[in-house]
Amino acid sequence: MRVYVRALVLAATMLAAGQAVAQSDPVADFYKNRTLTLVSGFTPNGENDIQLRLLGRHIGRYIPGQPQTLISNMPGAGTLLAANHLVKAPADGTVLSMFTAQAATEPFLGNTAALFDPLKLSWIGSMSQDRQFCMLVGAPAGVSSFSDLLNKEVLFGSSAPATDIFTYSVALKNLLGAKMKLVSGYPGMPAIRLALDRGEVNGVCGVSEMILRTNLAESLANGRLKLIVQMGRSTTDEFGKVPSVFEYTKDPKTTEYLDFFFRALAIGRPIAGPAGIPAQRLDALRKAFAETLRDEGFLAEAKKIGMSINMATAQDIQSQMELLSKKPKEFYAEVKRISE
Amino acid sequence: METGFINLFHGFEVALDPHNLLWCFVGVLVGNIVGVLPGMGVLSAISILLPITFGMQPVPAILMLSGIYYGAQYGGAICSILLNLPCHPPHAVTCLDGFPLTKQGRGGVALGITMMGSAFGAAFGILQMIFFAPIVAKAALQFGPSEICMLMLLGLLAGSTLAKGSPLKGIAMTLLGLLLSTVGTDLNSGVERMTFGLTDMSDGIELVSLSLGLFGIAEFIRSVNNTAPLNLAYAKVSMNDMRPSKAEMKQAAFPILRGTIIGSLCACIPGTGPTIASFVAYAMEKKISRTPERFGHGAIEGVAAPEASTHSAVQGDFIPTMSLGIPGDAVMALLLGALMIQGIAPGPMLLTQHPDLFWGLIASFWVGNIILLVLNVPMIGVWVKLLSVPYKYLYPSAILFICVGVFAARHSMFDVGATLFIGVFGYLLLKLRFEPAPILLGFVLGQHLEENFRRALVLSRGDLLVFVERPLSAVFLSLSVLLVGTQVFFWLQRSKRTARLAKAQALMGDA
Repeated sequence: MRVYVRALVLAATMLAAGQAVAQSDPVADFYKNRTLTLVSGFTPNGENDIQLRLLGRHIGRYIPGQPQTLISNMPGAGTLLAANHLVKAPADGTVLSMFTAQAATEPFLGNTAALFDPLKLSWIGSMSQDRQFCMLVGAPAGVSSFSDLLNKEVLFGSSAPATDIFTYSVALKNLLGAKMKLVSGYPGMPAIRLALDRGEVNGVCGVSEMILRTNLAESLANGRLKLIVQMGRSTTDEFGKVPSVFEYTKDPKTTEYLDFFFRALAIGRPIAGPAGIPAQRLDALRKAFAETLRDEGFLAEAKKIGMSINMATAQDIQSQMELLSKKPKEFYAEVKRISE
Repeated sequence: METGFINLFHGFEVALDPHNLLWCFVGVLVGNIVGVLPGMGVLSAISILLPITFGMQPVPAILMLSGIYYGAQYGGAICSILLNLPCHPPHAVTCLDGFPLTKQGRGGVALGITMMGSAFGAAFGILQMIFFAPIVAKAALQFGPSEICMLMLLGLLAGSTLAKGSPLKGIAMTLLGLLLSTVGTDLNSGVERMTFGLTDMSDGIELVSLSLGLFGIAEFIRSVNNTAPLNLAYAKVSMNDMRPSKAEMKQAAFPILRGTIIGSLCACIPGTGPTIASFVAYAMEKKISRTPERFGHGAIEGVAAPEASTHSAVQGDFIPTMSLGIPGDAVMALLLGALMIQGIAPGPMLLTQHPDLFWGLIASFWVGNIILLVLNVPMIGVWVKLLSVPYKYLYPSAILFICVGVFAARHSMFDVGATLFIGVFGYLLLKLRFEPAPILLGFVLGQHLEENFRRALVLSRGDLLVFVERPLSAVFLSLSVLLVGTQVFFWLQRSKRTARLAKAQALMGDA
């Protein structure tokens, strides 16, 4: 009898110990009762900020220990401030930042204001890779396609240099010879849309799918605006047949630069943590990110705001950064020249 | 017209639905409190509360968020008048006469007049939205870069004599404001200007930092020198003193009307917003007054006109946002984002696709403004009592709120440092008898002036005649010329008269 009791006690102790071992997941222990801060490099409630907030509402559930999530805005210097924040933020996996792909590549371009090393950042992924368009409004005289634009000048609205809208427009102008007369200096897409409505300018590049599905859906349906070319890694026929920028050149050198502007930068809005996050936590964050993007509730909300999920993994971004770091100095000198 | 009333009636049904009414109340209450707290901007308040709207229906969500915006305007004037702290930039100009009124022990009266002006301005703004939204939306499309540029020039010329004291010093401060507005990345060339290589300055100086530094912190440093622990004149305010007299109401009536009209005109021009409206209203009041020397020393008109204009501009601001889908300023951009989260795209189709939302929002403006009046009028006494709190407690706590508010706007300690630095600079200016208000005017108008001037020239390929060829722009330019012309004419007349008088006196002296 005694032996039985002893065996029972031993078995119970071992079970309890085993359970304790199973329960003590160091990642879960760490995140329990902690807050994960997601720093948005964008102004509150812009298109990109809305997407990060959406992620923030769901990702906590998929991280072991289920931390609270907090979104904090740190706009400025074309999202460079949010990227630089990662240099001084604790590298324990409690701070992640979202910024533009362009800000991520600034160190390669020799910008001394960019303090981080893109090769060392702990990349998490990107929710939506950019598929952007150039559009014309109100059919300016004799121009209805990108081919026409190669022969006839049209006024295009643009933001300040170094913004997506400007870079995309100027790359098309300098690489493919599109005759865009750029009126730069509009504070952002809403101001350019007002200028288009006023007839001040006739076209704009950098129009996102999300805007086409929501704010511009009506103008697109009634034919007031016409999409003339699409940019990005992959193409879509969702808005009718629109040619890709890559169809307009056969020159390998030009294609290489087009690749930089419309593939590398098309990573979208990458999310990263500081360099040196412990491997286990980083894996957990990456896994949680991927699982969130498959979550039904998340997808339903994304659909409501017209956002398409087109994920780039941490590996995708890392290899893109490594590729870019190997390009010679002359390449970046030329990129700089093209983007001016 | 008849359908307008039917729609509005339907809107009231939506707004008075208990669920919607509750959220509207929450919005205006939060807005009101946020408005009173210095530095805690509408932008941060809406951003903080936005996540709770995700699970809500679109109508109550928008009613609440809009309520925060216009509710904050009611609260915003309170600190400007009582503590010289412009909690929001549109109310900075209210400090000029509001604070002197408080020093005279008439802070309650100033608040009473503000409430009247605010309610009238808001009511007019809402009527404008009901009846003239399509016209306003169309008018918004008439304002191209050359028109906006000339309008800003007119505003600058009218406002350069904004401050009391030496006009030359006023002009110098306006120019300083213009100079400060050029700090940051140049929108046309992408070159950083006067940022001293600091990445934090690449987006320019924050308006909140500038206004709170120049008014709030500078006033705080000045008051530190006050050895008296408590200014008794502040605390000696009885209930009767708070009610504006008939004469005061009469004095404020026309300024309120004029301010309202200016505010609603500013609403037609996307991008201008309530800050410009309130400055222009104040400048115009001073310009047309027979006794401009009273301004800056506690003129009722100097409180009534800008406040009415702020409120009518705030309500009118919703027109381009809702009917064109183009936000007039940052707060409207935020609301637009909130609508997008709800899967609603504002624009010309909003009225037909979501009449509930459009008319419900308009009706909720009425309801919200009434709630605000009910909340605020009895509270005036309580706010005034705030002044009996000794300086040593009141101002340090205000500074704390300023720091929190400024930090929250961009998550940036740099901005907090900048606010304090600007405060010290503002104090030095005050000591040298330079008024800070024109700096703010130059700063606010400067960005629009430069941006639109350069854009107009890019579009006209460098042809300066574009400012004369477009009719609206020509009108504004002529008004500017007229303004300068009359100023010079009167100055010449005055100097001739003084010369004549001096001559006559000299002759009499000889005799």
